[in-house]
Amino acid sequence: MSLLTVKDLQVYFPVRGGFFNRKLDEIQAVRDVSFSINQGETFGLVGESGSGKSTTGRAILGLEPQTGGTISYQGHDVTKVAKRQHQDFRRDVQMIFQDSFSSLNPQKRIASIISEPLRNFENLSKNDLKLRVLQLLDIVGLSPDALYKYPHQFSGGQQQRIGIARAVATHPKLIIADEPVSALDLSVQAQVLNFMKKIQAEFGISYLFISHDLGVIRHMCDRIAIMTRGEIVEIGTRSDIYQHPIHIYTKQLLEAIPQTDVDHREQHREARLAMNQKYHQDKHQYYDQQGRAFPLVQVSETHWVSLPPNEALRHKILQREEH
Amino acid sequence: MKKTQAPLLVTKHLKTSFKINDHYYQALDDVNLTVNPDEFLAIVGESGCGKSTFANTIMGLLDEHDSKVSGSAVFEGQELTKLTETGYDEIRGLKLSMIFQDPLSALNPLKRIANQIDEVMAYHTDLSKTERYQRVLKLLAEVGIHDPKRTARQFPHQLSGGMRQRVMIAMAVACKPDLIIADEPTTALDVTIQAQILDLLRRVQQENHTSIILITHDLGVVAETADRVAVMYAGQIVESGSVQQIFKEPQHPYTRSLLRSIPQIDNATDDLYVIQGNVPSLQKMPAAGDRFAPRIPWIPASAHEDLPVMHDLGDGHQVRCTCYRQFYFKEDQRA
Ligand SMILES: Nc1ncnc2c1ncn2[C@@H]1O[C@H](COP(=O)(O)OP(=O)(O)O)[C@@H](O)[C@H]1O
Ligand SMILES: Nc1ncnc2c1ncn2[C@@H]1O[C@H](COP(=O)(O)OP(=O)(O)O)[C@@H](O)[C@H]1O
Ligand code: SF4
Ligand SMILES: [Mg+2]
Ligand SMILES: [Mg+2]
Repeated sequence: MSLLTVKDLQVYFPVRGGFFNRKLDEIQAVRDVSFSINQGETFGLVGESGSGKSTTGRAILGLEPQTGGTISYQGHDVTKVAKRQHQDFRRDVQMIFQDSFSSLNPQKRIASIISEPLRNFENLSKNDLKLRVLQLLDIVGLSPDALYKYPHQFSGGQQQRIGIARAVATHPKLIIADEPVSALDLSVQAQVLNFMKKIQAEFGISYLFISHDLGVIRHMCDRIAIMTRGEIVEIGTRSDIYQHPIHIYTKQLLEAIPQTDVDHREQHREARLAMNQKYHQDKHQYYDQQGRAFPLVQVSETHWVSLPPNEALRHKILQREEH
Repeated sequence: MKKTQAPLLVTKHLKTSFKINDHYYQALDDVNLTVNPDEFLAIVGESGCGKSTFANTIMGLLDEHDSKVSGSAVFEGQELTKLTETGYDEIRGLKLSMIFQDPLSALNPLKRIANQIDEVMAYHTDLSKTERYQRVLKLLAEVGIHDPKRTARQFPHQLSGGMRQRVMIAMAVACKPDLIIADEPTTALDVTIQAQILDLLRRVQQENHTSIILITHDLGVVAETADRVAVMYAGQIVESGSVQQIFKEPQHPYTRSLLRSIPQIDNATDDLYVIQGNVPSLQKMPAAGDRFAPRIPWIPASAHEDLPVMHDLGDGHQVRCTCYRQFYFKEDQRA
């Protein structure tokens, strides 16, 4: 069952200026974005910087003003922000940031930081509270003496795990993780990603996993949406996206990933250059006159692609023949 | 590559320490590195390993008041560690130049792009103003800027991150230096732009016969570009060799661990390998013994050297310490 469904989400930021601070223009950060996240799955949102990934994640939490579209959670319409300020939603949906350090209050001890959501949402005795915090520290692999330390006394990877401990404190059903490992070194990144998988297996958490790193996305996600300029151009399973990409933007993005296969780097480079050339030749076909992506068309049971009308028709016919 | 040519840069026992609370701590220890003409060398390691310290030491960019350099670094016959600021002025930009991770902080925000590139040439060459302007346009076109005249008039903040990095490269190559050090030049860029910038660096290196030292934490970037690789850990080079040797026959436990922790197709659903512990801070750097040993505690102490030195494995492949002979992953033994 779908846990969260986002339909035609729009977030436009006004650009103000001039003497009266009038609205001169707008930035369409998110334009008609639709997807749904299933129970227990990791849904990836990948794209280049400025494509609208963070804005999408923040809008779901009600942290950005929503221009249009609907959001439903466990089958209930929660489009009105007031509905998302409701205890249930705020407890169930948590966030992990790229830079946990700046989101952790530097003046508070770890015990207080991690217990904050528990104090907000659950009525626990002092003793139970401490037990729960100790459990959480254990889950993210920190020793009990962390309780009385301050955030700056931890390394980047540890701070990120503290951020995770706080996010999972209330047994959330969905965690929006916005570039959770982008600031971390390889070995620490591995540690945090393993943790995220482990607690998912343990608690059945769903993730909206936002990243620009296609290697990390492939490792973590069951289904993936490719975003560019505020729009999703392709959605599919990991193998749909990595083995059978269809949209030209997806293809050139995948070609650009640096690979460690040193024996084939010349071939890889040539393939990438050829892809680039094709991209510049053909990309206009994939967008309408206004530069907007075409509507998503279903090309298989799990795979949706934004395709120009003629291509869309071709894929529809192909798909019908398969059945 | 002409094998008979003398190396461009040779460092021997190069050490750099920083003053922290009146004590000096070593950030770079015993770095022995050779860069040949026409070579693309990558230095790779996690943050805090001393990569930027190496670059800044070579470029003479360290603050003399809180740092100390010893050992030697000979660049085209000149001892860099003894070079004065005026001496550096003569070679920086002309023979030796640098590209930074963040071009915005390296470029002058108040100067038009044309003037910034012009400055380097005005200082080092006797080209006329018109000749220099023509060359600015040519350089901008060469680094893939579509409208060089327009970009030449613009200020740094008017350009995208990728464009700024192209401008930095144009500036770095303006006088066709013999060596360019690029410190994480693509870390702040999107993958597609990163690929273009790396292609550009590779092209510059081949067309101008410039050597490049590319500093990065990204193993994929290394595998795609470098001829030779030096792996750094805690201020030391722990392994060096050809890009094939490093990626296909890695020897040092650190190199092998790093390669194992990359998310790759074949481990899409498994747990990733985690290196225990952290890179030690300068104050906590072990004075003797192996610096990576605490992170592979299952390897017996007897496997390590007390004062690890580089061992030659042939064909230019070198590895620090002898523990590589006995190394295995803990997980593999259990299996
Ligand atoms: N508060 C804001 N005001 C105005 N523009 C914004 C704001 N937040 C984001 N944007 C713009 O919206 C677009 C999408 O940004 P973002 O969602 O942060 O992208 P991503 O996370 O994919 O890098 C960008 O053009 C960005 O500059
Ligand atoms: N000016 C400085 N003063 C004191 N310590 C420094 C200074 N510059 C770097 N360091 C320390 O030296 C070590 C190496 O840093 P750096 O060369 O920047 O590593 P990298 O570039 O590999 O990330 C780190 O522990 C860092 O904190
Ligand atoms: S063998 Fe040497 S280099 Fe390798 S971990 Fe042991 S001490 Fe370090
Ligand atoms: Mg973002
Ligand atoms: Mg650095």
